[in-house]
Amino acid sequence: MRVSLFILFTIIAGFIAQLFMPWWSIVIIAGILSFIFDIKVGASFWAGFVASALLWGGYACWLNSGNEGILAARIGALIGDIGSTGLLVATAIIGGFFGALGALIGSLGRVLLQPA
Amino acid sequence: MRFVKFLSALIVTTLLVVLFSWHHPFGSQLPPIGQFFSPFTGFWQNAERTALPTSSTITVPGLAGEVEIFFDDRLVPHIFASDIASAMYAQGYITAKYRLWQMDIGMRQVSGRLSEVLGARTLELDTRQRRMGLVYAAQNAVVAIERSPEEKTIFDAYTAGVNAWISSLKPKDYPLEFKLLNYKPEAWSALKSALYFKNMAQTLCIGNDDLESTTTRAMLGAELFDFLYPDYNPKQSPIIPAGTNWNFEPLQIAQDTAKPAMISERIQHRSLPRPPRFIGSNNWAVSGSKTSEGYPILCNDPHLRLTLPSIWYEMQLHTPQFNTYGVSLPGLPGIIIGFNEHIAWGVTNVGHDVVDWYKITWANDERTRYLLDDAAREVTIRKEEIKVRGKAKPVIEEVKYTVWGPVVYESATSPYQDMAMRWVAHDTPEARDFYDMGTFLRLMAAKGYEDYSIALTGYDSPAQNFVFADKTGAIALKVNGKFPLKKKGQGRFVQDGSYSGNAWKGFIPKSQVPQTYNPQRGFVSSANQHSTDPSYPYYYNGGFDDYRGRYINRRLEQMQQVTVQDMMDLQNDNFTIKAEEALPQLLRHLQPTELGKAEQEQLEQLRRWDYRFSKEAVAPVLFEMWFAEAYQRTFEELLQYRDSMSLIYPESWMFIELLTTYPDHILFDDINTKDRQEKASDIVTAAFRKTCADLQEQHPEGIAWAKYKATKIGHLGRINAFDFPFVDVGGYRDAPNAIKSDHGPSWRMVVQLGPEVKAWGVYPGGQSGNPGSKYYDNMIQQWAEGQYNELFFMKDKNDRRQPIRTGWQLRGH
Repeated sequence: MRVSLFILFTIIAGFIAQLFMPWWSIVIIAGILSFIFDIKVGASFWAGFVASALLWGGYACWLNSGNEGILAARIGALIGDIGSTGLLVATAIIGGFFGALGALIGSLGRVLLQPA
Repeated sequence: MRFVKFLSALIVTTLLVVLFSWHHPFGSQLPPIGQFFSPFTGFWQNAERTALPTSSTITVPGLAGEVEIFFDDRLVPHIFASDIASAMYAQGYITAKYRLWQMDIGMRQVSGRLSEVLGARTLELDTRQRRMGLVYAAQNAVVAIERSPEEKTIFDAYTAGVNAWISSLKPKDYPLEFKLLNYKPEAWSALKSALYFKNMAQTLCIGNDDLESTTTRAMLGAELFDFLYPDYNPKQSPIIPAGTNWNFEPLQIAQDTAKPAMISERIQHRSLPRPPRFIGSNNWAVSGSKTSEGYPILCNDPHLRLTLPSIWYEMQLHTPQFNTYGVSLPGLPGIIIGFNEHIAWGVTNVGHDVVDWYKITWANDERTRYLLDDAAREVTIRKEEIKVRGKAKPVIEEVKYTVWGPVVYESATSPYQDMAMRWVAHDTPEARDFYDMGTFLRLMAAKGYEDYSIALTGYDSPAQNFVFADKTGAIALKVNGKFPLKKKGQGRFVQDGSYSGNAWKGFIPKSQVPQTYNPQRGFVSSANQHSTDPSYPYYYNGGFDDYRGRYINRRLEQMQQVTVQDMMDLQNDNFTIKAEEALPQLLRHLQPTELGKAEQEQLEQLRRWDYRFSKEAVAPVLFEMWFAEAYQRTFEELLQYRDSMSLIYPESWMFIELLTTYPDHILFDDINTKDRQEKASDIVTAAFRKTCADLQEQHPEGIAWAKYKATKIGHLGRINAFDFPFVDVGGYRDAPNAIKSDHGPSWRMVVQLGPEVKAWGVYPGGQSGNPGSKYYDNMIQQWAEGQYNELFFMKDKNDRRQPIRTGWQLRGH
């Protein structure tokens, strides 16, 4: 439950933050929320990954569908024949990875405050 | 321990963020990966919706009047403005919206500022642009613009429009190429527009063979040189019909022979890269007396480098002063080729040589003083600062300017060492009411022949054949521009720059340029051939086309009851006189007894050929290879130096002439055989056998012309993924449909000047410069098939004869 809420909040806050801040603000958002939601260190990386991958991948999917895949096909070819699906997956993975790192840092930070 | 874990995660993450924000990581060409992939900032933001945006009102800074813009099915903007300045503002705004990166990179290329964003790999290119004085030329043009209140208003309004669009952009909105190359758009200016004009000049009128001709003549001797490189092809069908009376008193030009004018020596090394020869175009107008409906028809198809985004941007501009439609060049205000409710106009390039090279004699060891008429003069030094991305300090180039122009090359390894360049496009125009841009503005508003004639007086360079037709039935053509007055033969070879008598003798008065108005034959036409027959009182030389013009004139002579479809067919005609004249000669000299069975079959293909370079035909491949092979074997005396020296090679018509009239000429002798002297028939037969063998080896299954020619429409920034990699299309550079592998008809337009002006057009690209737009390359297929769009020339804002997809209102604040 807590993890699901973390994921939901990360997607919403991450979306808003990235409209105004650089792409790496997802690291900070995932970190803060992971800290607040007190996500266990073992779960934080994957929870952060899922949240952020859904956000990047989902937004990219939405933009892609409005564009009928024209741009994705070209960028896919530019990057090396990965096609538009490959490009969406790559986008989700990159976004997910940085969300995961952020969440991990947040959890590790929370652990720091706990009594030994 | 916990702290160590936390700290390491923090450090690793920070390092990864830095790594993913790195421009060109590890020496690659990649943009910063994180930013580029983020759907919030990167390329996904350029995945624009295929559905057009709904109507809206946009508030923009500095717009005085009212503007409404309607977009049709093909994303062509129809701009309605309350005054001319507002129309130019809107044009700048909309052009920037769809073509901003194209405008930026074109400006950088011509002004030698590519390295600022691309790094040291373009430094050589930038240096050359600076040394050739392109920025100097544009600055001189701005001096003129500033003097003309009319012109200044136009440029300022256009600039304000472009800048209004740029300032509305956040980094996520930047065109894709800015993100890939990771740099920002910068503010536009009148100087940048002027640079655009110089870009045209460099593409169209910088061609010259002075150095190559000098070396070739020194090598061959004057007699053979004059024989192989005549100034005029007697078969020419000149633009101004032969026999036209020159109804003016020509200026007298001193034929100064006191000192030898021309340098006579071999100049080693390769010459400069330059625009390919035969960048050409067609235009013509047929009088109502020859058309089926009795209305004049005007046609134009400029042949240029085929790129994406396209060189042209189509639009309609409506103000209380004019209602005009046509194509514009992103970066320049106004319509360059188009029509209004009264007239239509079009342009093709004029091949006159307007670049001459002068050899400098230095007066001191530092090379800061040079001799002119036995007195030493000081050079003027112009410092060019070239910023290079990734380098802390800019590169400073010091360019020496002489009375002739810049000393472009100083390095001892350059063939142009110590030569100054005299180029018409460098000049500051003499003071007058309006200049090049004013010319187009007047054409946009012209009501008839008189307006057209006045408009053309403002135009200097690059010189163009301006074709004209109007609703009253008049047709005309003027070979218009700033042409140097030359002594006979002047400027074909490098000249001695130490004697002022070698200078141009002024310029041909605009009233005396070659021109024709309502000629007897009922049509006017140009296809980059010679402007006139040799009876024109002024000497000129240059590069001229030999086949398209003759064929178009022949067809127009023959045609009666011309329809719009006939004109479209002529623009798409793949017939060439080159093959019609060359093939019978090649066949005549071929010795069939020496041919095998496979070769006989190939020969049959050629015998049945109709001289059309159709896309599916195989004979054109055979002809092209055979002709090239025979040419190569004939002129091997010259071609053997191809990699070590810059020479000029005889024109193809001259080769045909040799085959026809001089089959025993010594040139046909193979320099590798000592014991016998070959004749044309030996060369032609050997060339045919070689062609058949090559073809068998390279394409055993046979190959269609379209595949062999391999037309591609490449991205302007050479990003292959944004190319249109293969167009299945016929055409040949010496046919009206002059499609080559990377050049061709960049806009085809047919205008019928009836009571209601109707027009058709197409270009190989699309209105949007965004590779992620469905309007990026949507017209290419249609263009390849020779189809046209009926252009929606809106009468007023409420005209809905064709659908309007969306409308915007621009409002100043």
